[in-house]
Amino acid sequence: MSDYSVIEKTVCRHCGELCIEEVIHENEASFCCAGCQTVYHLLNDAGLGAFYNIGEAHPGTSMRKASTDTRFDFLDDPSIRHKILDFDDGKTARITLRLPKIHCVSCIWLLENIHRLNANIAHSEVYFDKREAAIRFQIDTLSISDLASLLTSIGYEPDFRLDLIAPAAEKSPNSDDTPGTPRAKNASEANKSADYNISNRPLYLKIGIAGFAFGNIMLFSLPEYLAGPDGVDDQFLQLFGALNIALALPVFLYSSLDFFRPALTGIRQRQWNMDIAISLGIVAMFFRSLYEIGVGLSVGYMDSFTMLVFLLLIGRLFQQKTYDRLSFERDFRSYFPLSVIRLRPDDTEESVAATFIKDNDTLIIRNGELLPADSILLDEKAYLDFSFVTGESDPVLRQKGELVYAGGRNTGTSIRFKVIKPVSGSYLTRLWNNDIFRKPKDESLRSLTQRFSRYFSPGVLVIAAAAALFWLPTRPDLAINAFTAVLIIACPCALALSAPFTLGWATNLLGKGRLFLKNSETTEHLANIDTIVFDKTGTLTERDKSDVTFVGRDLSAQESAMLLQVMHENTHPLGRQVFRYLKAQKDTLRNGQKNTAFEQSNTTKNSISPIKDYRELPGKGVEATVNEIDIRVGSAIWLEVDTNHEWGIENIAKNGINNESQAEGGLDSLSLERDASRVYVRIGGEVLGYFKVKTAYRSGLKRLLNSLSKKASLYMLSGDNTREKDNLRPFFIGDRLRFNQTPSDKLEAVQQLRKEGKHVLMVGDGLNDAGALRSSTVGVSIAEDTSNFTPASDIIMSADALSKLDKVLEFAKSSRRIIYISFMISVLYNIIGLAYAVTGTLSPIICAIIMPVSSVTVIAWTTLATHWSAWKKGIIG
Amino acid sequence: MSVMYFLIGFSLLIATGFVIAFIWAIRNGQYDDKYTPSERMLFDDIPMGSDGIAQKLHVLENKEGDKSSKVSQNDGNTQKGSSSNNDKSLHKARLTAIDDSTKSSTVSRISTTNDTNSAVENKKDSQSLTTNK
Repeated sequence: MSDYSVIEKTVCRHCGELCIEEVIHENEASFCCAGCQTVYHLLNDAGLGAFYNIGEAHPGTSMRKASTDTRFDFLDDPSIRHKILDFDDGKTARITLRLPKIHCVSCIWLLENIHRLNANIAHSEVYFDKREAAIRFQIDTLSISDLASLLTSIGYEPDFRLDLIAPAAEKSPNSDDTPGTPRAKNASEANKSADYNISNRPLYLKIGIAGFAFGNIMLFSLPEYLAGPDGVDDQFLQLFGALNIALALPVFLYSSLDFFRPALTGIRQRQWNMDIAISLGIVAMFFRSLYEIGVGLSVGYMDSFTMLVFLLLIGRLFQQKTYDRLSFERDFRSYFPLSVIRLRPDDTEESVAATFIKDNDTLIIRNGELLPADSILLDEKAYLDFSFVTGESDPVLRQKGELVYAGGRNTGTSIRFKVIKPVSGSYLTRLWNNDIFRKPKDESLRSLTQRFSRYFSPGVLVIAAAAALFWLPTRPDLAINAFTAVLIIACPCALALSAPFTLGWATNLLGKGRLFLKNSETTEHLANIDTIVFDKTGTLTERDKSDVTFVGRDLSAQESAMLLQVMHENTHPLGRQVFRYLKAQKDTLRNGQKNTAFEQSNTTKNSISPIKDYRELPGKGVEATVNEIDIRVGSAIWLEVDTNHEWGIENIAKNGINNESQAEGGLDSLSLERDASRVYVRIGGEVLGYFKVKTAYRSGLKRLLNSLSKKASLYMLSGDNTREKDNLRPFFIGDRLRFNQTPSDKLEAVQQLRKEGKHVLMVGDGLNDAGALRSSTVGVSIAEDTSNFTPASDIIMSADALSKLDKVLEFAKSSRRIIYISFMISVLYNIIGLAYAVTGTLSPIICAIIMPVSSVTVIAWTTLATHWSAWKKGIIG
Repeated sequence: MSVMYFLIGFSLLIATGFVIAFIWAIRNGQYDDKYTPSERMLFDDIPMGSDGIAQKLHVLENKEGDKSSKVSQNDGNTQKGSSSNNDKSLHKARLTAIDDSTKSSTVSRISTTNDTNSAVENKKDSQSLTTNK
């Protein structure tokens, strides 16, 4: 056995994460932070300790990253109240809250027991798929804001959508306004469980009725099929026939509506769609059966008819997989803070909903918060990060009196602003009001089935007419027979099942591969893609990580600790990366020395005196004094360093972050020396070396881009500056690599490509990509955490799934082939059936055999083929 | 064969009953959420102390690899013994020792508790990871 070292790591009892930054030990358990510890005790004291026993061992939500000071008081504003509450009679209220942090069974248990945490809560019910909870409570004794705070304190911060609260006049045209939960009208309704999801009910009903009718009609039809040449007695024939009609009637009048309506629409718009073909078949079957039963000829074709409807509706249901917990439609309001802090004239603070901000209001934007409206800076200076909007990741300095656009994130301490335009008038809003968001997404893209049916239905009618005409001179009685028979048998049962099942499976399988499609038609569009546009920051690069190595002489533990303290204060992105690197180093060191290291580093920490004279000099670096030693971290010029100095062998750190990236290194094979940022370190007058900070590209990128370039033209549009140009040059030819793109630049670029007839796939992640995402054929947004935040797109992709993008495109093409083959199979069956139909020898039993067999064949084929294809391409498994 | 009429009629009656039940179930919202009720029905009730306040439950656990977890009851609020209200019974603590030459292991001991006294446990909640370097 090779030798190995053991690293003891402590896992938080509550959330299950590794305790890296700090560990709190108790008699029974350890925690990663005070927040987790608090929740643990809160639950135990209320008798809810069983939370930890139900499912996972560590079911809690990590409280380390939770924001502890979100303010909810604006929720108590009466004008907002009625928008949020489902029901409100002054005493009892019911509210449906979205809680994205719900992730396991224990969460359900806990949230349905919160009445034990506060007696004013009467009842709560969780809808897991949607990540929602409906809570009934006494609103006269427990305010909405208190309820929200309570939920936040146990780790389930509610997520409110600003666009649902906005005053009606300001609603953005494309916001998806379907809460899904109907309002309760009186107290007794409020006491019932919420009607969470009524949208599928009609379909279930139709399927149920069709299935019931199908089974029973089949039973009544069997005697005639099995009776032999004499058939059944006339009276039974009549009875069965009558029963068949009675059973088929509800199917014809109710279940088939889902086909009749689109067929009528298609006829009005002069577009052949599959529903027209299906409706033709249905009508032919029904009325011919009425005739044959009426004259006592047979038991009719009702069994085939109801089976057809049943299977087709199931196909539709299957195709409908939605990811309730993801939102594919968002407008800018979803990103903005719901409430901001406003200064009243008497200098007290109040929390107010962002849409109520007026001109000349004074806002206080704290660290990490977004500025929701165009404003003027009141404080001396501020550093704002506009990556959210423009993609540029370096913070921008703004001085007192300067205009700051909405969307900037405060990276420093709290700052004050004076609003000059309300949220609706700001630059960002005007961006979203671009026409591209008004039109429904381009509907001209025909689905495969639609294109096929353009030829299919007319073709069938032609064959039917031809057959009728053929028989007319010689055997006129067979003419009608043949005509209706052709319509019946050529009914696209198998045809109409091909696409729904294939696409339904494709959506499912891609979902398992962490790619979530808005609807199944997206798969078809993916198969046509010939151009791919990438964003850079956050899409091709990891959002918050960089590769950092230290070049120079070894840093002692003391020096590392001092640097750690100094960099802790720094807000510059390079500084942040250096800080992360130093912190990770410290933890590895500590963990490697087992538990005693914890006490050791504690004492080390105590022996360092606090920082003095901390100063940040823009463009130069930071300086501070620790333990009477002067420390400077910054650019070579400022520290007067000779950049050509040979520092010797690189001191590659032993922590995981660097090892991974060195091993597979995103774009590692390029010469990057001059492009990496260097952060020099000088302690006590001696320059020790520098931190080399390279952008961390997502793993597997090189392979991915090489593979994609064979199938499509690749573009890269970045809002960032040109520093990564040489790294990316090998993959994007000529003009296809653009920097400093504004959101409108991106939008226009994609529109231009569309005008040239290209099928564009856009991959982005931030608000600055939103316009481009929408105007592309397929928009993919990358989400680090799929429970939150994404711009409006057709596909939401988990960040780790990006490297599979080329496989996904192949899979989409493969799905299209599967559909084609499936069409062929059904055409084959059709030919066999048509042979009977045109000769006038079609009988119910033949129809009743061919239809099920063809349907089952198609369903089996699509299922097996899609799974095999997905497995082979590595999308699942 | 005239019994057929009766048979068919009766069976249709029953079948129709089922269809009506189906329609009622859908309109009653039973198919709206297919997942959560399946988990909800498996939850246990929380044992209540005799004063109506839910008893405190402290959770003990053996190290990873040992799937049983223990629950002991702590009667912080009531003076009487809790034996009358036990829904969750005390499990015996187990000594765990894994002697495997390819894995490192930790032995944890958990002291058993008496159900009329408060439980005091000394344990470390830790996970050992072996990494190859």
